[in-house]
Amino acid sequence: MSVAIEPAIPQARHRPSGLVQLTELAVFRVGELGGVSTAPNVIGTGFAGLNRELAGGGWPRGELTEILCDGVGMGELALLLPAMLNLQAANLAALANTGRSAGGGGCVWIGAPHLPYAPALRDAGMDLTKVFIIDSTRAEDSLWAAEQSLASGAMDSVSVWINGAIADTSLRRLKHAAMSGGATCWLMRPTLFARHASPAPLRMMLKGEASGELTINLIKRRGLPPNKTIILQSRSLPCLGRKRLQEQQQRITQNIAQGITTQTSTPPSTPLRDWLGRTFGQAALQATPVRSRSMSPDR
Amino acid sequence: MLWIALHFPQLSIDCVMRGHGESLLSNLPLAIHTGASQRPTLHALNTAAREAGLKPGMALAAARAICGTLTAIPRSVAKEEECLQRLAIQLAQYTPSVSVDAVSQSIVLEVASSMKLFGGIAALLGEVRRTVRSQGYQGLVGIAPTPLAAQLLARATQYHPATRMCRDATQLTERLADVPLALFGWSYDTLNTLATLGLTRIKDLTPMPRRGLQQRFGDSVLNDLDRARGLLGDPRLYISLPERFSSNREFVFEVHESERLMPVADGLFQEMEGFLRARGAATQTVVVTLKHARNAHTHITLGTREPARHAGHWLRLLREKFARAELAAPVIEMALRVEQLRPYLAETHSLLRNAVSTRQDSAANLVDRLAARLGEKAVYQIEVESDHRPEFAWRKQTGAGLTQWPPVRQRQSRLNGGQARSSTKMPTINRPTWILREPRALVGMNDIPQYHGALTLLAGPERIETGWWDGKPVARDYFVAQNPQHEVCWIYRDYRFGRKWYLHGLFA
Repeated sequence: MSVAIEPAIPQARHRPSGLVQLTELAVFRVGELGGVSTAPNVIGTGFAGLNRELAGGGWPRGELTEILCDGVGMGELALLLPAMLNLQAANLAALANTGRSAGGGGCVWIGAPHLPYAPALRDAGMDLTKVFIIDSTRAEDSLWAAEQSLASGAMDSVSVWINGAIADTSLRRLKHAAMSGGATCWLMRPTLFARHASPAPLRMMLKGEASGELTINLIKRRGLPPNKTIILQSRSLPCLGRKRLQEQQQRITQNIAQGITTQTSTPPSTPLRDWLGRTFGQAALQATPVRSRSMSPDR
Repeated sequence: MLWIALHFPQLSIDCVMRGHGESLLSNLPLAIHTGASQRPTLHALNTAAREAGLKPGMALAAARAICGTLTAIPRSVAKEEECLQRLAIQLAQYTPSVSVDAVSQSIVLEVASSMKLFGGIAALLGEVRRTVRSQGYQGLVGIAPTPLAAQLLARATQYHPATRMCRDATQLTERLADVPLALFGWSYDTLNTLATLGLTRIKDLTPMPRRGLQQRFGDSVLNDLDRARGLLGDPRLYISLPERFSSNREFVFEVHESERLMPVADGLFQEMEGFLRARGAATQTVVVTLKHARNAHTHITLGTREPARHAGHWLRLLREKFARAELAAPVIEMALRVEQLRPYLAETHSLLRNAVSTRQDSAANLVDRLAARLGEKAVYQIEVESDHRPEFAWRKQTGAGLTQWPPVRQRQSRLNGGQARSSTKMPTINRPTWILREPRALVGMNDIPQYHGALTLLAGPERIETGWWDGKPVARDYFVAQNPQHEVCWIYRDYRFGRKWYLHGLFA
């Protein structure tokens, strides 16, 4: 390998300065490893632990990233949400500075396994007007939509869920579309395909833990040796803390057995509850064991 | 004043040929016949027919004897006039002053006022020529300070094939000197008499005493001469643009493949774009109708999020529609209709040249393309609704208004600032990021719900009981649960109706 690289070095010295600047952006150097988030074509993952392990310190922009994950609901979406928020924030900043933004902060979700739930995304801080959802059951439709969205350059990120096998040429087309449009592409596939070759420069395998943590195995990445395993707390679910887990489990199982339903710490506000709060004050509301049950005519 | 005149010597053949694109009819001899039905004669011929040795004026029977594969179509003057009218409407994008002269089969455009907008007469002429050619017409061009002179120069190019242009009114008489008098629409008697007197060109007639000319030939000869030279006013009746747009292309043969329809559709969309440009409008809905010989018509409705008029964009949408479905039957006619016009919102370009402006507008175009192929319902956005029932706490948003950048809602919330955001902030209840389209009933073993294995309850219950007023009541205890695969689920027990367990969401 070193033989192939060395003749190129003396040539680089004679290049005009403009060309050197150009290549600075396009060429990846092994020296620029994780932790340094200076690379312009990277978006922060929102997890310091993960940023450290990725080239340039984040998800590569204008590239295809493969996320291999079996099952739904182990924190795989929570892994991507901070990056989408970062993209939206970057878009807002660009909007404030120049009055315009590159990708509009838009993100497209194609062929998602279930419906994205608007209240949860809103609570996470997402701007829902920038989220476009595309229902697609056929893999070829999903790939076509992804390719169109990536190549148009109108979107900042594209997330695609595909369960079946994908032809190598299709993957290359996705990668090419991502590169030409400058958008980030996350491809979600079952772990079965981990052993298949892929043109994606970053591939990771996800595994859920009982503690709610997410084990990430970086099976392919730029610049650093592969097969690095890191553990992240991607979701902030209070019920999933390790210490609280045991006692809570016991308590609930007990209660269920006894047929008692306990109140959650913050019951949803109802017209009745709002009215009570306004009339008697919040203190009275907390003191009385209010059941969050609205007025029912049959009672 | 500066006029561009377009003369169409091949109008009757172009009207038939243009619907078929280049490849379909070009090597097939085709003739338009006219005259009495007992003895029809050839009126116009395409190149293939002329190469076969046919000549205009030949009897149809004789022509068939020479060329057995000849396709002969009777001439329709009404259709030719309609074609001219449609072309004039399309040309109205370059100037509002467009006039059709059906008798001499020409169109005149007054361009002095719009020349600067299009970057000079050469650029404008290029645009006009491109439009005419893209519609399948062969037009001859003449440019002069008076409309009649422009028409004469255009027709004179038939004899001397070069663009005749005269922009200076003082040179007009000199330029017109060699134009044959036969190009004026005078009566045969007048022209014959002039010819016997040895007067065949304009330069022969101008030194003649006016009084004598008037006595011999009446006012029309003198008036036409004066109009051509700009000595007498020549008001023209300009076309008025219709409120709606509709156009069609008939095929001489049945078309079987949708790919063959694309060049035709391109022509139709360009015609539509010209009309919309002339009206300063755009549209959100275009109906393409395919007529079949026996089957019922196929209607294809194309829609966009934002008013659009660019022919290429509409063509791409139609291509996506065709990519999804085969033609139901061979097509004999293709029609295009625009019912509602919307004001065109011009895109504002940044003073600083960056790649951004082209990316911005493609967001709406992208959604159009996706929706055209995958269906209107397959592309949507989600919104939060204020309802306690989880399945009603959100809403799908499809169709128009999907990509208003930035959307109205967002603009309002930005005006309100952070205040609006904090007031709408829900209490910190964790909601799952995925919700199932329909709650899935879970099998319970010994009262322990199962989803990919036995579920362990982690948190809950959160009781939601509401909705009695609109007939969709819920009475549920929600729990957060985890299965052996470590998937975190949002499940509920319907505590009033049957005490069954359901899976409703997943904390991904």
